[in-house]
Amino acid sequence: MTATMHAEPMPRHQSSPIPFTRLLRAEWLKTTGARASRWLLAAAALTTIAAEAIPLLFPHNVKQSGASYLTWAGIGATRLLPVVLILAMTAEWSQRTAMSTFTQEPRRGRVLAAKIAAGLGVSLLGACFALAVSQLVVVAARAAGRDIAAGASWPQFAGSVVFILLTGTIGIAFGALLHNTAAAIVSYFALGAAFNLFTIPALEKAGRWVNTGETYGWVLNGEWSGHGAQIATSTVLWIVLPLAIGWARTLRREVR
Amino acid sequence: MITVTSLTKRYGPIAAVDDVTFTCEPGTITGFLGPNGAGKSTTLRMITGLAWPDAGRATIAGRVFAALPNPARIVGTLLDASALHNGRTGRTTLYIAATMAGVPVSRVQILLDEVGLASAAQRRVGTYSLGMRQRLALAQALIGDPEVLILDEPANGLDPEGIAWIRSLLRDFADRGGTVLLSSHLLAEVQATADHLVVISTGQIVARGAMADLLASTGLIVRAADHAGLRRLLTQCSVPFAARTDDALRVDTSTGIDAAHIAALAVRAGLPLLELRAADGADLEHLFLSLTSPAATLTTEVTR
Repeated sequence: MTATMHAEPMPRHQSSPIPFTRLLRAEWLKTTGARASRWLLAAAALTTIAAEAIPLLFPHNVKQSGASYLTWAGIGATRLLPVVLILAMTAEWSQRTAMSTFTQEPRRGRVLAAKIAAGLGVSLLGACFALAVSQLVVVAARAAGRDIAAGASWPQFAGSVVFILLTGTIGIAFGALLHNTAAAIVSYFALGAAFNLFTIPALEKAGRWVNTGETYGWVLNGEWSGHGAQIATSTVLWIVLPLAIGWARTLRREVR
Repeated sequence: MITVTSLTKRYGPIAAVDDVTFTCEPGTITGFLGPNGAGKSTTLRMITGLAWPDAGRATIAGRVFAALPNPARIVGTLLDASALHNGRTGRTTLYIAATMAGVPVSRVQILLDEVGLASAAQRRVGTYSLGMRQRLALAQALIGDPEVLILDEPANGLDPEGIAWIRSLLRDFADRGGTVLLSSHLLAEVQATADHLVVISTGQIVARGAMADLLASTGLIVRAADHAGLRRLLTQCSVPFAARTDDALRVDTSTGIDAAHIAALAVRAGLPLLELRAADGADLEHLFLSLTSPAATLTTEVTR
């Protein structure tokens, strides 16, 4: 706290544009650097592990195959992961850090792109973790004498990774659209609850196009073929559309 | 260098900022004053690219903010010390800013030391007092080693030692050739720190210019041990003055009389003066209130 530190004359920096990799590193630090995010990531890891208890504890009700263990790990991983990504997308507005972020990079679209990329990175790590957990559990269970059918096929591996990425991206899209942590989390879970309506026989047909619980279920199980249009429709509805509107809103919103 | 030209912003039919023009030169500290709701923050938001003007423009180092390639290397901004993430530590906050700005990570520790937060660096910002948040926000503004600083109420919540520290920091920054635009309601603090003033009221500029010139128009404080003798002298020389509650006199300088003139008169009359200075403190307040009260129609313009 001394004035003498600055004996040197004022710098005149020839500043060059911020490379995207640097924005990405900053967004990665933000996504993983806050206390709430760290707890949620730890909890998401725990729910991934805990979900494996279901095929383990109910061998007569749950199919005993490598694919089944993988499916349950994917379901466990995606309970809280979207919330981490909602926090990352909304903190700029709810914690008002948009003020310093956008005065460091006024090209808001680049910040948003870095945020989405960081979110996808976190989802990808979550997917790798889920894969590793399910493989370890299968190996351990077999060693303990459990009869588990052959491991998952490649479409199933790929499916579970894409499933985790897509589910995380719904959180990203809701956060980008709503700019408010509480509203985005509530809407995200309310959407999940609203999807239960599609169990009503009259709505069942529509549900196959709208309900990500159903369409992404096909993704998770590697059953893409024949469902491509339905998976794409629900993705446009719950990811592309909110993300596009949220993008436009972020670019235009006045920061207070 | 900050150049603001005819900046205008309307919210519905109301002009929050109406044709505001001023410049901040390198080597100066410009105090930006105005009552609540006068349009100060809106002006600062438009200068820093957080809001868009309906007309006019603002440039920093010759470019509009949105065209600065890596703004933190040119201009440091502290617009609201409460706009920090409560869940991050002080160190992480600066680390993220340093990463974006592309400056060496060693600057984080240097700035933590400089703003006096080294011992609190590992604590979450949510546990910080307002003064600590101000210090962290200031460190964040300084992270890119900028040549321009734009600060909104930076002394808010600081203790007297902190206020003295920020004053010397800003003075030093300007003396090195930096440009400072400083908004504050602490008028005595602005008077002690700034050398130029821009005053706005209901969105319009009501005064701008060098502080010394603007305050000179509000008078001089003169005091002598021989109180009656001083009154007699000033009356004889037709110097307009008013008595104050203490035994000093307040000389009206609107007629062009300055401190040198008073000093010369006193020397010639053999009358020792105890005090001869620009009216300050309450007088910036006086100037401020006279300019910004609803009844004020006066526009003061002093250009040098």
